[in-house]
Amino acid sequence: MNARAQVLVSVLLAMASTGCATPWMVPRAPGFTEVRALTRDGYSLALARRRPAGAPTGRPVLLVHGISANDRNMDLHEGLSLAEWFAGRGREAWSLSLRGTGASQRREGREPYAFDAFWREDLPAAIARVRAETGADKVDVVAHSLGGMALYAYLSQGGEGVGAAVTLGSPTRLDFGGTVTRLLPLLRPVFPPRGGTIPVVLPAQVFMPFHGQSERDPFLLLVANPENVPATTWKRLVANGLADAESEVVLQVANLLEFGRFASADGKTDFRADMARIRVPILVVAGKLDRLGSPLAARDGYRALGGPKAWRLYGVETGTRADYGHMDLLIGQHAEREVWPDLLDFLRRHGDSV
Amino acid sequence: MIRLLVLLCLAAAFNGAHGAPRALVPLSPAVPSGRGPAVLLVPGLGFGREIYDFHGQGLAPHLASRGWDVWVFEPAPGANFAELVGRELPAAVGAVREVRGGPVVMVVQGHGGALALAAAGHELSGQVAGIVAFNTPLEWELPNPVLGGVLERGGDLGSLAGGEGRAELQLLYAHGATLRPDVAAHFSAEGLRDLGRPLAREWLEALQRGAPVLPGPSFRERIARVDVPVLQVLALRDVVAHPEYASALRERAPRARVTVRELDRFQGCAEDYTHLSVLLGGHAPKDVFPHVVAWLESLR
Repeated sequence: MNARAQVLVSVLLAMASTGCATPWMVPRAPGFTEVRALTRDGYSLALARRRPAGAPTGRPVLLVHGISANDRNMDLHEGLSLAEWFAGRGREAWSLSLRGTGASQRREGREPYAFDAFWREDLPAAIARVRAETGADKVDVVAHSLGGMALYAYLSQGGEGVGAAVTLGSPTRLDFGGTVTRLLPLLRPVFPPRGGTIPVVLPAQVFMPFHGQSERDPFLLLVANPENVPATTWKRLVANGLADAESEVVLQVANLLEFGRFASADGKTDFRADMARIRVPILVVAGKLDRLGSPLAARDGYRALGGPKAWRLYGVETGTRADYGHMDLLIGQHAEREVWPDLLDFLRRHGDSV
Repeated sequence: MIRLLVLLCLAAAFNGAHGAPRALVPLSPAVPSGRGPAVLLVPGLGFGREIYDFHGQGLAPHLASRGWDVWVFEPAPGANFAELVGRELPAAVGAVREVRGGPVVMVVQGHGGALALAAAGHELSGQVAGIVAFNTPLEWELPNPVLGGVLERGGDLGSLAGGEGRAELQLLYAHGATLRPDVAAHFSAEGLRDLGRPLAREWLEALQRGAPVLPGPSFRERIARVDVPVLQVLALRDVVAHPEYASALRERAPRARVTVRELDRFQGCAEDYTHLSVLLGGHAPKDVFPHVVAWLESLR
């Protein structure tokens, strides 16, 4: 493709993405303030703070999103926001955007970073900031997918300041003989490109008109059950809640898929083995139809934890209206009634009196 | 002819617990290969042999038509866990070996399959060449209140099929599944078996306790002793025997050479398989059975 064609395609893509996504861009619920936390390696992270309605009923809650996402996963819009829901029940809610996502700082010419940066730098910085702002001795953490992996890694390496936690669809191994696992060794030499950024936002937004139009939509199929997540909600998430992914992050996470190894990028620290040392109470949550952090993958983490711990699966068999997929736990239309109260109940049972 | 005579003798002598008959049905291959071990298919708790051979279709005829010497076993009705591992399975394996010689490959499913794995680690040690395990839980937990309720009321699965329990059976075995029309219409009446109160109670108590109680080595010790190749098939939407309770096999049986195959729509399957559809689903011959055939071929 010559230079002129490249420019033309780029302009068309940019126009398509802007035009396609705009109708679905929605503001988050009012009543938040943005706070910044600075990591030791110099990244400025964005935290959206929601003060509790009325007197606090427990520790502040730090909400952490998954891969290729941002804090809007936890705080999509008024009426569909885990952060707003916690704040409405007396829990000060802090939604974190990990580095390179949301309003947090991008890499911008600095050294590439892997998954390790999230648990080694971002989580400690965010937890410290919340404790400093609120005066709380400890914070509770509710973490989705890769956010839960970061929490596991942080706690397994002696991380402090967490009172109790919930992980939602967080895998600790993914090598269950699926097609992707078997294809990965073939892809590994060429994908992802080392030191780069994998575009997620632009392709997702270009295809915006087609999202949710078919139950075979591969993107939706992967991350949600359409019985729980209507097309409108899904498009809002795509427009507001996605982020590009760093190659080194994807490479490190790919070790879960190819080798079943939940370890540091250099391979020297086995997080999964060290999870036996964790003594923070953790509720491990899985969705019956989660194909990313599947029950298989999440249960592996549950087994690895030292405890106290609890396991909860959400599906029709346990009384929900539909089987839960990966994102359904956060943005499912019935999650507010079917899932979230259990999270708060667990945190309450393992909380300090206020 | 000699083979037929041996089989007739076997059938005559083949009685189960308390004199109740077991069933051991050989399926002659369309094209006898003469190679590879015999394959013994053992239904999960509450299923009859129809789970593998329903009106001439299913995994058993699928394998037989590809040259495998296939035997479908049904334990004596009401046999408890100790009888299953200590008498029923050894009797079936012994009977097949009488005819074929050499170790057999077992195909097993669900909690009954987990008991078969446990037997492979003790009573059947040295007699098994490999195991195909469909969602066989190593962590025994009550998966949901629905199964708990059915077992609490005596586990009369066959009787439930015709009554108010139909919705429960649908949820347990086929929620979200694509079944063949004949299976959807008739399997619950023909392929399910009443457990009987003692077995239902034993199953429920094992789920509440965290493991079945077996004679001799513990369930966990037995699993740790399994040292044969295992193909573990994990169906995402199984509501009776959750795949996540089965997935610890690689750690629990470190000497077994475990190959795992996760089956769901994202892995290219036509559906997210359930306890029933993984064996009798409309797409199982295309999505599921080739994994079994390929793995069996690797044993030859």
